[in-house]
Amino acid sequence: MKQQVTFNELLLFACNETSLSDTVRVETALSADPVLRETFRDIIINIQAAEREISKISYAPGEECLSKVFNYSRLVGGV
Amino acid sequence: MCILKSLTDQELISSYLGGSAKSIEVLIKRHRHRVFGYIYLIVKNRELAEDIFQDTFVKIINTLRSGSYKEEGKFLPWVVRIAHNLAIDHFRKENRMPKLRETEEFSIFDIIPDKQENAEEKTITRQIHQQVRSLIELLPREQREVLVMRHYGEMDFKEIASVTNVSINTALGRMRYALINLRKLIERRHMVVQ
Repeated sequence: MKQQVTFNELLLFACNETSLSDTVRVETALSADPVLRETFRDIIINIQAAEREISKISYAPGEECLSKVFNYSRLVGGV
Repeated sequence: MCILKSLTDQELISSYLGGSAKSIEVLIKRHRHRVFGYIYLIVKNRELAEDIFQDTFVKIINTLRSGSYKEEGKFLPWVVRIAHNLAIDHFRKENRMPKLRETEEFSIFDIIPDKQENAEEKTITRQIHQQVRSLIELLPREQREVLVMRHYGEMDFKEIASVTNVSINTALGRMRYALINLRKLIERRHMVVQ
């Protein structure tokens, strides 16, 4: 009998956020259901594509902005 | 300074509270890209992002010094949660939500060069950066938030749901559509390039 696994549970599983019991349940369902495996494969591809894109960019505050924060930390305490 | 860089977030906090101002500087520098990236992608304005970045760390410093910090081992998600709340506060005060600033020019200061680049490489880097930023900015705000909270804030879905005041299923649903929409946008961009 196929186990019921929702899309959200698959997404959580893909992000390593399922509990131990849910992990076992999702793994069992994946091994028995080729359609579910296809959906899971799509989720992984989408996550990897998003990670690849976001990793191409980086942001940083300006030096003056950082200096203001550091000055404040010195003002309120610390050596 | 080199020794400080090898310390964990929690060790740097303890060191700062023990009197080392350098420790908080190392901690802030360690997370500046992720925290600022999160704020910038939400508010889409560099000047405002810098204001919120400063306010965030002033609040962090005050909380640390008051001894009320309890988030052991979860420093970055805590910082991003504060940054998120300050950004939302700002929009509430202004009585508006962020809109796409199509006239805002791409800033060279957005790029953090990992290496020495020649002019051609710089141009390519700038183009890639601009394309990716445009793709992410095209996502609806709720979807963008979940995506950047996971990437920049290293937050799990439970934390994201808590910060954004939605159920975990709603947070997961937003992530689902963010991923689908981003992939469609990437595919569309490839079609345009080809």
